[in-house]
Amino acid sequence: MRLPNRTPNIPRMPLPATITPAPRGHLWGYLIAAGFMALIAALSLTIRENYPFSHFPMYGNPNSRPVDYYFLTDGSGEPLPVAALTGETAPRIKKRMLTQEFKYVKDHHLKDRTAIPPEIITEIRTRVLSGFVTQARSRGSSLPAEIQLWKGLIHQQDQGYSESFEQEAAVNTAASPPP
Amino acid sequence: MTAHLRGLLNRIPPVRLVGSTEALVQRILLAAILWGVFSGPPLPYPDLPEPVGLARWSSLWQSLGWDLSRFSDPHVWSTTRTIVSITLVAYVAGLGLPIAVPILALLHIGIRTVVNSQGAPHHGHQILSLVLIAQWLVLWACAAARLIARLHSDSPPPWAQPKRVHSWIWLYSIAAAAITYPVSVATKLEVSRGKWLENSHYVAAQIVKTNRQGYYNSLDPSLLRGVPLARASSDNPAHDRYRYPVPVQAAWLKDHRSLAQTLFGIGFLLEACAGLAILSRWFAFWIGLGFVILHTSIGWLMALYFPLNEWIMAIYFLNAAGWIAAFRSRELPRPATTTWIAATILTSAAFAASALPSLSPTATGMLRVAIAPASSLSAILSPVCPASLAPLNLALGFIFQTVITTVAFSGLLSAWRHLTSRFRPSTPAL
Repeated sequence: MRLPNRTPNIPRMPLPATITPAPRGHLWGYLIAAGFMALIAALSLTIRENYPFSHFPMYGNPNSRPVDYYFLTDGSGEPLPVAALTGETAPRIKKRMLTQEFKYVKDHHLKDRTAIPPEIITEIRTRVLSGFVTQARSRGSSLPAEIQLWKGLIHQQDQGYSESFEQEAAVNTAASPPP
Repeated sequence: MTAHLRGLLNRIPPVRLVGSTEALVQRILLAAILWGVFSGPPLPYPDLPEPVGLARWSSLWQSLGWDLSRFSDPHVWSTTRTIVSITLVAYVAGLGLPIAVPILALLHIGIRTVVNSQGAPHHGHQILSLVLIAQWLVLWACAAARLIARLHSDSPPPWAQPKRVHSWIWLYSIAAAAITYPVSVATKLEVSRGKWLENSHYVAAQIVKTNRQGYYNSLDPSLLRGVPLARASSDNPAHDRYRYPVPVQAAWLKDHRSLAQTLFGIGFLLEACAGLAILSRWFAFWIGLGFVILHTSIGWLMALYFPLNEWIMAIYFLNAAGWIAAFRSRELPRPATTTWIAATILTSAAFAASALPSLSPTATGMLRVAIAPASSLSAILSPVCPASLAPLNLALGFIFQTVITTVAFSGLLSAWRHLTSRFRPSTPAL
């Protein structure tokens, strides 16, 4: 018996235009570099603020709450140049207070910083301010008789920005202990 | 899918060979940064009230007869600077790198650990320490492979050949610097519970804050320009003397919420994608250029500066010496003469305009962003460049900026040609 001389109507699978070769060996160099990056990322996010690692928390949570900052004045309320006086930048005032407040929260098993008693907050702020005064004195800076610590609060509203201020602490530079 | 992935992977070029001249330029620039870091006075911190990192292992340091706070001792600081000077000379000359780099890394980590152990963590130096650690690991890995090969009377593996070491140093320096940004993205997402982008327009209030902090650092009145504050009925009039104008850019971003979210979103995306910089010199270039512009813009908007980040980007990501070497060796097609001329004219115009005294603060800020690479290079070299050589430093910044602009134009032109060739209607076969 003779089979009909016809091409069977079998659907054809599309063939790739080019055959893709297997990844080349040089990719190992990148893979190990990627592994190194993953290791640094894991360490940074796990051990956090332990130099040279950090999880870089700054500006991590923008929200509608007022933004606070701190500055120093003399006894009459005239602003003082923090960097020239103490050798530190103004943001470090807040950072030092936060570090001490978080430490207090951890040591006393509190929920968060809002649970710290007001007198402890005042004590922490006075201690931080005294530390800056000590540092300024060790730099040989000329100090006014009294240094005050002020907090500024920036409110971002639809009608614009407004600011409110509170005096947080004051230190008598003549009476504070020498370094 | 697998075929597509393989195709993509195969398009990643091999890790490029970094030549000795390019590596020398990178070492000179990194050494200049390190010299600047160690050229200051002794650290003003006689104790470590809130120890972090290595400072937490106080018992280890005591058993070794050392205390990190001794960096504040003028004699120790003087000795440290002598060690750093000698080590930097060896580093630049490429001599004894497996010893020089760990010394530099440990000293840099040591002094910055002391600074960060004062209860106010600073985030400007981690990138440099991590780059030094990366270089240290590369040098020791290559040295160990060569040593093992020698002990077995064998030839070292190709990846540990001396000529490859510069390439790994370049790649891993980029990796160490780049990964700090995705870490920041992960933290943003964690602490904002995934709402960072949605709430990013509130960063505008942080611009007011950082400008206020900048003012109270030095009482520089130029940081008080802007639009008047709104007045709440509850405000205490006695405090009016602290109610300074708000920076124009903060007021503008507050009034343009969607645009603010878009702008901050671009920065967020750039940070998230920073790790891609290891994939090729082009990825490194565009991501590095993006970060130099981002950091300069943040400096302009927020008076918040991360110079080391910018400088590391300029050295390893933008890497002008690498581009010149690639053009000279014809590893990459040389840019057309017209591209060089256009880049030179544009750079000259930007330099000339930035020197004009009557510019508005906005125009000055935008020009500063435009010539950010030049400023970065000049700032890197300034600690090692005497005042009498300031014009030379300026000229080097100009050349650097011209090279970067030319490379950017070339990249954009080739991307345009590639796109137009893809979408051009195909000519029917005859």
